[in-house]
Amino acid sequence: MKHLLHLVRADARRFRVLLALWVLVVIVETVFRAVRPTFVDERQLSMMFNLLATMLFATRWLGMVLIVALVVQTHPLVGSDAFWMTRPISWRVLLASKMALLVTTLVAVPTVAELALMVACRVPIAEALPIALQLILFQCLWLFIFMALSSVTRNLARLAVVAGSVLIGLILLLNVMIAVMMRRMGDGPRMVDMVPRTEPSPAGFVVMLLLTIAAAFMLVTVQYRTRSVRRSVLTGAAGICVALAAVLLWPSPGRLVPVPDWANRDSAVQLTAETPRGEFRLSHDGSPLRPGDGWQIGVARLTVRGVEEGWLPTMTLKDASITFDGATVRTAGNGYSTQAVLMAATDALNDGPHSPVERQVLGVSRLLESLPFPQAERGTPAIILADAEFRNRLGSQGTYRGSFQVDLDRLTVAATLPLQAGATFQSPQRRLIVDQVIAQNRAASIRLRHFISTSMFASGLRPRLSFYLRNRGKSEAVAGSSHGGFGGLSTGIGLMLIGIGGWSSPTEAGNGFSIISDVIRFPAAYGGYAGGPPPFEITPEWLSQAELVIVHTIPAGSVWRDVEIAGFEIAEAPPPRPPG
Amino acid sequence: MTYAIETRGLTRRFGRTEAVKDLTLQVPAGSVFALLGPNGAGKTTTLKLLMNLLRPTRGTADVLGSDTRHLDAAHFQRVGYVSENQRLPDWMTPGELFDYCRPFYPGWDDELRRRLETDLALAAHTPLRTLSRGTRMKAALLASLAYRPDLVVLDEPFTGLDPVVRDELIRALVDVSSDRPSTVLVSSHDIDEVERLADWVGFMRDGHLQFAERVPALLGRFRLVEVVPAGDVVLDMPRVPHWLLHGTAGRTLRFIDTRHDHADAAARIATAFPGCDISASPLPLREIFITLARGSSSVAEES
Repeated sequence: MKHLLHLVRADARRFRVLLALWVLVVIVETVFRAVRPTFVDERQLSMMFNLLATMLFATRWLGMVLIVALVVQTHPLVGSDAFWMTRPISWRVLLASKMALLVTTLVAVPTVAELALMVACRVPIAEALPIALQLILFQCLWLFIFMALSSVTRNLARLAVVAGSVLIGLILLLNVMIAVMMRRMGDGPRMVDMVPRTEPSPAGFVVMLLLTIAAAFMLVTVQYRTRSVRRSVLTGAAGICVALAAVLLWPSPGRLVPVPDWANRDSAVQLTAETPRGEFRLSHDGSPLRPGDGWQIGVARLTVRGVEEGWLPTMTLKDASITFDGATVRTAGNGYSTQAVLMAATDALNDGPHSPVERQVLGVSRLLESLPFPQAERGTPAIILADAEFRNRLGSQGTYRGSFQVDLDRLTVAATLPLQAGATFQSPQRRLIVDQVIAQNRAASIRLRHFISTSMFASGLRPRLSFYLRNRGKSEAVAGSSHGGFGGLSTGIGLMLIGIGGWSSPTEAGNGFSIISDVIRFPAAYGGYAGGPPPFEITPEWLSQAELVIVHTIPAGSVWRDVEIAGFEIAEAPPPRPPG
Repeated sequence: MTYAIETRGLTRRFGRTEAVKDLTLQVPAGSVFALLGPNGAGKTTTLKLLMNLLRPTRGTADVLGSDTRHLDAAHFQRVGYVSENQRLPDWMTPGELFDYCRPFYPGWDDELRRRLETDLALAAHTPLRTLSRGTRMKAALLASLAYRPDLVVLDEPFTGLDPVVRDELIRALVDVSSDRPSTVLVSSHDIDEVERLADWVGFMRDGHLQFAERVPALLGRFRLVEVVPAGDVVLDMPRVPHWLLHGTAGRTLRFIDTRHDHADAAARIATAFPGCDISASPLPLREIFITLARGSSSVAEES
C-alpha cells in the first residue's frame, strides 16, 4: 500500500496541471450543460455556446486520451530500457497505482459531476443511480481501451499511429462488410423483419459491454505482467472475440409485450377492405448494387374495426397473395410496414392515420394536424409485385389474401398544463418545464426544457411524448411538433459521448441524462390544408382559453390478422397531389 | 565457490540474428567482473537477459540464486542496474529521483546517499534532462548504490564520459564495495578503467563468450615475445595455434603467446627458434583486448 500511494503521488505530482485542467473542463462542462438551454433564444449566444460545447467536448476527449497515454507511458511497458523495469516495483502495484489515479480522475470525477447535475435537476435517485453506473461502465470501457493502446506503445506518436491504424482498419472492415451485405441484398424493396413486439432486454448489451471492458483490462494486465505485446494483444483479441460471440449467441429473452385483453377477442381488430381496388405505385427502393426491374407496391384501403378507444393499431404486411384464374401470385417479400388508416367521420378529408384516436383521447371534435394527409395516398401496403408481373396483370381481378401483424399503441393523456411559464411535468424518466409561451400570427410556440434520464439497464418500451394545445370550450385541439432540441448532442455519437463522460444522448432511445431546450410549434410545418382553409385558427383569444396537453403513446403487444378481398383489382395509383 | 550469476546455454535470437549464443558464464560472488568485447559482441543483450529485460530464446540464467525469468520486486531490492541506454525519469531532479527510489528499498542508506551526493558533486536542482550525460550517469549510479545492493550491473557506464567523471564513478563504486562486499558485473570498452576495477574478465565476441578468468591469470598468460635471429636470416612464423603474429620490425619477429603460463612455454619457443635471442614481456589488458578483438577465436576457444 505504501508503494502504491508513493507511485500515485509521483504520477499525480508530475501531471498535476494536466489533471487539474481536465477536472476543470469537466466541471465547466457540467455547469454549461445546466445553463445552456436557458440561453437558447439568444441567437448569437447560442452560436457561441455551440462552439463552446464543441471545444469543451474536444478538449475533454483529447484530454482523456492524453492523460491516459502519459500516465501509462511514464512507466513504459514495451522496450527494455525503462528505468522502473529494474527497480523493485511490482507490476501489480504499478498497475494498481495507474488504475487508482486514472479511475479517480477519469471515472469518479465525471460520475460525481453527473450525479451532482442530476440531483440539482431533481432527477429521482432511483433514476440517477443506474445512469451513474452506466456512466462508470462507459468511462471504464474507454479508459481501458486507451490504457490498452498506451500499454502496447512506447510514446504518444506511436500511440497515434496504432490508434489511427486500428481506426482505419475498422472503417475498412465495416465498408467491406457493408459492400458484402449490399451485394447479397435482393433487388426488391427493403423488407423489415417480422418480429412481434417485445420488450428489449438490456442483458445482451450489458454482457457485451462488460466482456469488452474485461477484454481490454485483460490486455492491460497481461502487458503489465509479461511486457509481451504479442501475448497481450492476443489476449485482448481473444477477449473481444468472446464478447462478440456472447452478443451473437446471447439468447434474446425479450419478453413479449402483453396484448390487451380486449384485443384477444375474435371480434377485435378486424380488417376489412373499403374497396376491392389495389392501387400500385412503382417503388425505387432496391439495392443500388443490383438494380432489378423495379417493384410495385400495391396499396389497399383497409379499415380496422373493433379497436377500443384510445388504442392505435399499426399494420405490418406479413404475407400476401392474389389468386387469378388458375394462377397465384405471391408477394415478393414480407414485412413492409405502415400504419393502419382508421376511417372516421370527422375531418376525414384531412385526417392523418392517428387523427381519430387523437381526437378520442383529447376529447375534441376538431383537430388541426401538423401535416395534411392526402386522401389519394391513404392506404395500407398490401402486396408487392415485380413490375413485369404488375404490367401483365394490370386491370385484371383476383382474390387477395393477406396476413398482417397489428401492433397496438395506447394513447393516454399524461398531463394537462396551464399555458404559462413555469408549468412543470414530471414523470419517472422525464421532467419538463415550460419556459415561455409565444403567441404568433395564427400559430403559437412553446419553449420548454426537457430533463431526460434513461439508462441502458431499463427494460421495457418507453412511451413517446406528443404535445397538443387544447381549447375545451371550442372542442378543438392543435398538434405540435418539436423543432429540435438544443443542449444535447446528436444521436449517432450519443453512445460514444456517454463514454467520454457526462454527456448523454438527447433522444429517448439514447441513454444517460440530458437537458434539452426545445421549441414546440402549433401547428408545426403546416403546409396548407388539402380541402381549403383550416377548420379553425389559433388566435390570441383561442390561446387564452387553451391548455397544453401531453399525450403518452405507450407501446402494447401485437396481434395477427388475415384479410381476404374478393375481386381485388390491379390498378395504377393516381399521381400524388401537390401539397396545399 | 558461490556464484552471483550463472548462465547455462543462454541464447537470445532477434529474428535471424543470434545476439547471444549458448552463453555459459559464472560470475563469482564478491568479484568485480568485467565483460569485454567489441561492439555487437552481445554484452548489452547478455546484461538485459540477466536483468529480465529480455527473455532468453534458449537456456537459463540465475541471478543471486533465482531464475532471471522470475525476478520480482524482492530480487531487485538486492540488485542495482545502470545502463547508458536506460531511460531515466528525466523530469525529476537528482534529489527527486533518490526520493522516488528510497521507499522501494528497505536497505536505503540516507547517510550513504548524502556522502555519495557530496563525493559525486550531485547537488543539481534541475531536471535530469537538462543535466550533462556525466551527471545523469552519476545520478543513476547513486540511485543504484545507495541501498547497498548485493549485485551491481553496469552496462557501459563510462562511455563518453570525461576522465574526471569516470574516476568519480569508479571511486564511488570502490567506496561502496569496501563498506560491504558486493558483486559487480560491468560491461565496458574502457579497458584502462576496468583494469583498475576488475578482478575477473570475460571476453565476448559475436555472441560467444571466448573466455572468462581472473585478471592476474589473464595477464600472466599473455606475453609479447620478441625473437631476434643470430644471423642475417628472415624468420618464419611457425603454425602454433596459441601464438598470434604481432608483426616484424627489421629482423625481429614479434608474436603474442597466449599460453605463456604453461610450464614449458619458454622451452617451446626456444625449440621453435633455435639460436635466436628471445625475450618475453607482459602485456597490459588493453593490448590483450585489442589482440583478442582482432585475432583468432581459436586462441580463446583453446583457453
